[in-house]
Amino acid sequence: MEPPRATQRKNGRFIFSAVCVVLGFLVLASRLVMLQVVDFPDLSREAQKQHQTIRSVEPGRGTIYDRQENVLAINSDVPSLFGDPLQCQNPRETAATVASVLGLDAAHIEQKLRSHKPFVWIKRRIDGHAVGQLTHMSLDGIGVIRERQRVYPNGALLAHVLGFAGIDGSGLEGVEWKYDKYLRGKRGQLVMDRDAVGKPIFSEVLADHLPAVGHDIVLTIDMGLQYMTETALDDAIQSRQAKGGSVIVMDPFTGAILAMTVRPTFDPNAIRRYQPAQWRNRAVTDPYEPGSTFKIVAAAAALNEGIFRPDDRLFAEDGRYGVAGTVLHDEIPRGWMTFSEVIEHSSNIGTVKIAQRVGEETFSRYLEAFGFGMRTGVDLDGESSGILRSRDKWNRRSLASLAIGHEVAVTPLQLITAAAAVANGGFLMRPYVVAEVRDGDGYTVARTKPTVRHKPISAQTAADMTAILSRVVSHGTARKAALPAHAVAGKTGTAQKFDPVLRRYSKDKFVSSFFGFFPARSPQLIILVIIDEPQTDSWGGTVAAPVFRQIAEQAVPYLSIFPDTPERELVAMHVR
Amino acid sequence: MKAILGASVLSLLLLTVWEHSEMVQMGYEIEQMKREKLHQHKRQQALLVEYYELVSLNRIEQFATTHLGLVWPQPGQVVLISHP
Repeated sequence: MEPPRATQRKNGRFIFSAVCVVLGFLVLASRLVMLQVVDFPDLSREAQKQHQTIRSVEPGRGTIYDRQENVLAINSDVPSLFGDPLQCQNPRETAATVASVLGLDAAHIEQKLRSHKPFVWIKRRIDGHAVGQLTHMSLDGIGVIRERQRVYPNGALLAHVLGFAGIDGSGLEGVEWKYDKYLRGKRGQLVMDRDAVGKPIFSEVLADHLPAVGHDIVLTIDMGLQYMTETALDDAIQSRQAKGGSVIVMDPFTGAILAMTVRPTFDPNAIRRYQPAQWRNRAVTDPYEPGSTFKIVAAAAALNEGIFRPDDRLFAEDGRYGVAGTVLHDEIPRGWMTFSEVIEHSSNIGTVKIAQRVGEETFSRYLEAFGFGMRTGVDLDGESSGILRSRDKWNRRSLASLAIGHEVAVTPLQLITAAAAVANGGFLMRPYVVAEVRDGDGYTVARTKPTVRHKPISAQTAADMTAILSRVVSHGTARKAALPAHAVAGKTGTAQKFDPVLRRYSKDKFVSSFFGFFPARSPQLIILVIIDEPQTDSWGGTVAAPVFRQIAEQAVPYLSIFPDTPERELVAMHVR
Repeated sequence: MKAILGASVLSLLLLTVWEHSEMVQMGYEIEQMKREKLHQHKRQQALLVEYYELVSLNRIEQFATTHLGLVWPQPGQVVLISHP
């Protein structure tokens, strides 16, 4: 038996030990409570940071197609070369090697590689062959990363309609800009679990941040027809040493634009090489004085109001006619002419006399009814409304000037839309370039329906005007637009350009134009050709009309356009 | 009895560890496949771009006129045949 003192000491040690253990556990428990309860949110976040990464998922920009589903704009990843100056052992040698492969200035690259930055661009968007060469060399401090880029496989073809997207993938011009909200898609977020060395184990898209690919756009443009217009316009500009030009091809019954070409042009794959002025779609943004093509307005107004019939006669004053203190001239002086012959031979005096009989108020009403002085509503950016002064601001000469296409500025698109109203039986249509918008699964999100804006003339007036315009091509000023098997109706225009410096019409700067539609009585295409400042000739009939014929001759077999037949005319009448 | 119980618990533990390891391994494989899919998609896009560059009308016309000696038909050389 232990003495009571020893037992007491033993008990004391036991109690002391027990208290220490309990205290230890209490400390541990309190630390556990701190970690698991008090600091839990912060620590949990820190732990997640180490094991989870949230990454942004870039949406793919939608593709743009022509009406036959040919790709016009698509995304692709392209390699770009960067440098890490801190890792570069021999900047001079490396710069020389890179410069020899890429054809760049070695000194400039060396300067970049000698900087104290951790990252510098050497050259963005380089070709695959160069990447292969550089990768094989495995240079110190030089690397390749892939960047997403918008690619236009056809280069400059349709550049002004397509526009372009910037380096950040947002649309900046043309359809790319106008339809950016459809094309760009929606950025999403991805949660990625990583292991201890940072290797991804699982990744999952966040439900409330689902990425959505951009919608695809189908244009009304026909790439084949577009190519034909571009080559024909290039040929004409080269042979006529012209400053520029534009061509629009439209379906007169729907307002769908099938081709739109503007010169000078640019390559949307390399926009930095071009001036912003070259990006502008002048067919939509730049108004010009239309000259004689505008005579259709006065003629249509006179026929529609019943003031003249096509075979009524009027006196063309033998080529000289005084109006409000000025004398008007005709290129070829004529005496008595029928109403049809006035348009057929593009008589200024005859047209002014027609407009005078129509009267200022009625003529002004028809100018508006044909859509001049207001935007057509086309789905392209930067459309101009042209310049048309209101009637209260006209002077004594305005009626005469306007009748022959002066004192007014119209965009090529406005003019072809007005001319299409003659071709289609009297309907002023809203032109458009986007036929359809489709989502990533191919379902149609939006489809453009042809829209009638107005009906400026009756079907009978349109038919009479078509007959008159057919004679312009068969017997009048536009004989060079005639096709062998198809009846063509059209009107030439030759307008002196206004010199803003001298504040008078230039004597050597002209705009030559022609619009025509065929087959005349059941038209499938209407084409407007404008040549800006041709040097070798100036007449619309000799400069612009042959361009029309070149395009039309190629379009006939391409689109299988048959000449007018009674059956086809009947169908066209029903459409009207 | 105790031995059986111990073995069962140990088996369960091993099964859990094996399951977890398989899950992680599959995660790696899925991520690898996703990367491969993305790579193939990018490759497809690049090939599409190359294809559309090769079939661009400008290139075809150049090839047709310079290599094959083809010319545009003259008016009258084209006969349109109507089909029902």
